Amino acid sequence: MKVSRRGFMKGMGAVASMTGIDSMMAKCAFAAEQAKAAAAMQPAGVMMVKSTCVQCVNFCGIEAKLDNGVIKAIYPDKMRAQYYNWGICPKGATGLFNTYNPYRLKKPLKRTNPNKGMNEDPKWVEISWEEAFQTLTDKLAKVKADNPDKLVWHHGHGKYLIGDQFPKAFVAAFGTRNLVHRTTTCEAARHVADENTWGGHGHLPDLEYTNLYLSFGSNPFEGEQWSRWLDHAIVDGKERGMKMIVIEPRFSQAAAMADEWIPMRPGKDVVFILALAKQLIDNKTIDTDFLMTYTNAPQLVGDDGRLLKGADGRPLVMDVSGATKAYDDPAAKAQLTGSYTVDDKVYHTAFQALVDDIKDMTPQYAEEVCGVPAARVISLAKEIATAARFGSTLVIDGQPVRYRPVASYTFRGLSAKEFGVQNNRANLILNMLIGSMDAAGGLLLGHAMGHLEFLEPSKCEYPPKRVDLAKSVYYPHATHECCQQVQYTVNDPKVYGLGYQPEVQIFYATNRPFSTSDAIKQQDGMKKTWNCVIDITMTETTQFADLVLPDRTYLESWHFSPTRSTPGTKHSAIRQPMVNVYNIPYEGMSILWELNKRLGLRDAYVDALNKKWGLKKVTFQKGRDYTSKEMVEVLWQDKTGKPFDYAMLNAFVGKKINVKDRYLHSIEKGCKGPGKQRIKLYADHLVDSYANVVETVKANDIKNIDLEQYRIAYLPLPSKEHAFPTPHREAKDYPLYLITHKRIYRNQSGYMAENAILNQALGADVAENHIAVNTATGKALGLKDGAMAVIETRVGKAKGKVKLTEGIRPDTIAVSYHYGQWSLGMPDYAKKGIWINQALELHPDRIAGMNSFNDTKCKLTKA
Amino acid sequence: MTKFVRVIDTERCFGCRSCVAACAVENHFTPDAPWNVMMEYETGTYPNVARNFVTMNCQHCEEPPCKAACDAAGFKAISKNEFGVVLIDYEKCKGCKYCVATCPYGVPQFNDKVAQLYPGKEKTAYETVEKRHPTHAKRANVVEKCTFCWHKLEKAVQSGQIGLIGKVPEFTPTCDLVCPVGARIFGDIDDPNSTVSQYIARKRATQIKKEFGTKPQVYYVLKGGEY
Amino acid sequence: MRKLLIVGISFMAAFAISAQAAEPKLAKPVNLEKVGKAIRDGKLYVGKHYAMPEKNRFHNIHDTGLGLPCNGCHNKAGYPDNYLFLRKAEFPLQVDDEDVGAVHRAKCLACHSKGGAGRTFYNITQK
Repeated sequence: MKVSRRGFMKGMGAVASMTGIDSMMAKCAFAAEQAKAAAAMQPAGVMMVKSTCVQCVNFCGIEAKLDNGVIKAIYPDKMRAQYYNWGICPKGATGLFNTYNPYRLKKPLKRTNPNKGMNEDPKWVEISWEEAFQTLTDKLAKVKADNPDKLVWHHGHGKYLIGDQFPKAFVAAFGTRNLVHRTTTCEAARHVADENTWGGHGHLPDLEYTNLYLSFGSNPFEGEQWSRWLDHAIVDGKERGMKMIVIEPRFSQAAAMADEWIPMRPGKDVVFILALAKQLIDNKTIDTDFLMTYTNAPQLVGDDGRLLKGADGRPLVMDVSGATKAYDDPAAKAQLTGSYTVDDKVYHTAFQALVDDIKDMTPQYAEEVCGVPAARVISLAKEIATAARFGSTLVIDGQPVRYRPVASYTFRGLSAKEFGVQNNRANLILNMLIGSMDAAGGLLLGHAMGHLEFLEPSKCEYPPKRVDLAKSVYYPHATHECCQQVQYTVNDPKVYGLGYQPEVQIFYATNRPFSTSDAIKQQDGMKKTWNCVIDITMTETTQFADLVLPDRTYLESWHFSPTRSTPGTKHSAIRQPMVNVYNIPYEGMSILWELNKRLGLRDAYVDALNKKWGLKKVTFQKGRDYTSKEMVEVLWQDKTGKPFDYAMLNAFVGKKINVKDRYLHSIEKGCKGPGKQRIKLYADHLVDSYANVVETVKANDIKNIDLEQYRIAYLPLPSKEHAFPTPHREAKDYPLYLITHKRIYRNQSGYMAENAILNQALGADVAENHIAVNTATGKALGLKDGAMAVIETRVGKAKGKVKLTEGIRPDTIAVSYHYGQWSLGMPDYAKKGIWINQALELHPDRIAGMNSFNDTKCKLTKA
Repeated sequence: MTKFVRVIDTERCFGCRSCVAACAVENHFTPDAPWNVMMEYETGTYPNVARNFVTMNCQHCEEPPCKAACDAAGFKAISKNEFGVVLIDYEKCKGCKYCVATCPYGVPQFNDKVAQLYPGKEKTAYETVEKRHPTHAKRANVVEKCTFCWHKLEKAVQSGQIGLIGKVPEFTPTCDLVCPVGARIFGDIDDPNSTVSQYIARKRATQIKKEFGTKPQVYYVLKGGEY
Repeated sequence: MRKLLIVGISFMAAFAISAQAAEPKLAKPVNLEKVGKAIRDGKLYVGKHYAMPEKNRFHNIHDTGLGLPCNGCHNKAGYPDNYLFLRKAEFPLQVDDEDVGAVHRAKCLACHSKGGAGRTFYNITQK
């Protein structure tokens, strides 16, 4: 069935929308016309400056109002609305208090108390920048001369302040492999699931056309990376008639905005998704064309779990004639299901392997495991099948595009888990079954097959070269670093086979005690090394620092900013300084420049910068110094070709993505036709990765790898075992599930903890966090609303106030991040609430090295 | 005629409190006297649960009982200007709280003290700015409330750009400006072609607590009852 | 002025006392319109100070003058979750170490709407 876009809009009964993209564009055009006139009316001393917010990873366009050089307000940049954010969140609106904060670090500090600990006063002494740089340079020079790998560079938020290209260039010039970002705090498992399925990562629902939106563990109304686009796209979609179903254990703000909340038992989504898959398959309501054209569903799999390949190495399919043919033979009419004998061996199609794998995923089994009624599994599968409009095409701007307006989307809820990769692969498979990948209204993928190496078995390196064990036998497919692993390795490198003892750790704008699980154990490693923290406030990480360098905030410094693209738009942006409230002479970029200079690495750094930034037309030159502004100028000019004056006036330049680039650039180019790698419904290479793990463990007599757990983790298809992470299997005496979540009022690292407005003006109910307990459960435990209670897990305890609610499963409790700071350098009011990280069990995903946050089980008692 | 109204669409609102935060920043928030407040509440029983997000600032009533009470008490500190904006003159206010007592919406906030944002620390540059608009010159023992960001609208009036009110950021109340999902709009209800007029009609927006007859100039698209 | 207030109170007290001595008599209801008018005409002294705490005009009028009991206005149960009132998070208020409950302004409507016993603050006629 073909539908034109005009017919589509008419058919949806669309009324001229007061909000919505069309009216937003009209608003922007009008605003642009009036902006000049309005600007001319600003009273003397008032200046408007555009920039980019970096308090979370949405990178919203902002416009700040300065009155005689003082920031008085921060507004959304309405010119950016048609490319990304329509508004800003409360963090953004109060961002000036991230900067005007008397608790900020203002001068370099040196520790004089050699004892490090949560409750140990470092007894800081202020030193000069010269002494600070000299101290740091001396330390680094020694390490470099000995073994550069003994330096570990950490960043988290810092990646967004200066880009990871600068630290990557620094560590390249310095010679250490150990640069660690905090993606394993966020959604690394989802990226790794993508990579091991379609050779790239990143996907978004095509909400402009979606009719049924399934949101698994994703909450753009409180967290999420793309939330300032997702939020208005969802709200507009709902007004257009889109149905949104939120599947998660807690009645989040996303669930509050949805048409339906399905309260999922924590960690069991994979069974629910596979049960839906089984319904779709049993009902014969799947997109077989999609499976045959774009995926490896018809490819033959042997009993050893590996693909049957021809002499030329190409995977084979079973043709209807009874002969095997190469998977991309245009003459082949492949079987999708079935088992076949080839050369006296039995093979089944990859699709058949899936069918067999999920044969037990009945609605009744899903009800038993997930706590969701069997009838809903059955009816939801039917709903999905109806909404998917198999075989339809939508004509957009004259271009016919496959039309499957169902998007099943996941984020951190499924990722921050021991089986995060498998959970996400299950969802990718669901999307394959309905053919929604790269379809209008479906799930739009990043650049498919841009990195074919992701679909190869891991070499399972041993001994590991990196302190975070990424890509070693421990985390064979950890392409995004493993931030939570570092301190364990530092604390005892021999246990992991690491051939050196790290000596120096630099933490740039990251607060690991607040972004890891089992967080107290993180401290042992930090006590063993000489540490430098570069940050804006006295975070918990500074409790373990030997040297602290103050950074400038996002309103005080330059950057060629990261940005978020949407299905229909992309843009490039800068961040520019407006103030320097405490006259801090250095910031991240210039600190790195100074270090490189003093270490004699300046030219090597410049070479590495050009490589890491991929500069082509305008490059950094050796033999000279650069200010941060000059560096941003180079980046802007190379990436946009526009003059820098334009950047300082507008802060960004954007463009619309045409229909071909939106729908036809990824799997259409990368997975279809002769010679193209198909999307791995069946991840055969994981079988080989596991074989390499076994071999490596045997060859090196490694004692701390549980091979059976790796076997389960590395199954080529998501399976029921992936619904049972370690705490669910082992913590038998702990009856409740403990989950964590974000709140929109703060970010995870604690940079908002001191913000006067966020603490005092938003309402007492969000000035601290609580233990969300189901009302009936609370009653049964004798807990009243507001009472103090203790959460006890196998690794720790946390105490806090109970908040009774109907909006959570009776078998689950939830505590948010963002509160309960304990740094001695923070005021008491920042310490309100619960630091939940100390009680979370840590069982990293064995494929991705992802930090698990939401698998814990606990007891809850009155305090 | 020009009558400025605000429309708050609680079907679109997701409770981020950005409008609450932005109002606080724009209007020199003093602790415990917020001008914009979020009321978030749950209904239903597990698993059939709903949550509503409703913000409230001053309703800028056409017949403001706060003004009637203040006039009756003889202080005449509350005025309603030709654009419908209800303002408190802090010089005239004696902090009797009669307006607090009469307002059906609970809007006026009595400020028993003007506290700095970071107690015990030096005042931020944001707080030490000397030249403040009269509505931002906070003082103790006086009542304060939302002004429809009159300090912004006034500039439009003074520069003859009334037609741009609610349309450009400079002349739009800040709470209405920052919403990430376009749940708040501000404009002239006397113009039948304005966004607010059309929105009120299309989404069946209504006023709350009509039984008091105050004729508020804030309209709500509501989910759920008991206003 | 103070004399008038004392007379008024004594009058009511006399009623109470006489009521206790003999058979219980139905107390004569306070004529709200008459008392209201008397206050507005300055014939009933209710104090000079416009303020909310007890012993000032507001409570002198409503509590002492009109005899409205505390729980006639103050609701210890507070505001329901879904009642929209900007300052409701403040309740219960702490006044002199005591919890003061919420007041539903609907209680004020009867007297303070058009044609009511009290001064008109709500420009609507109650049916």
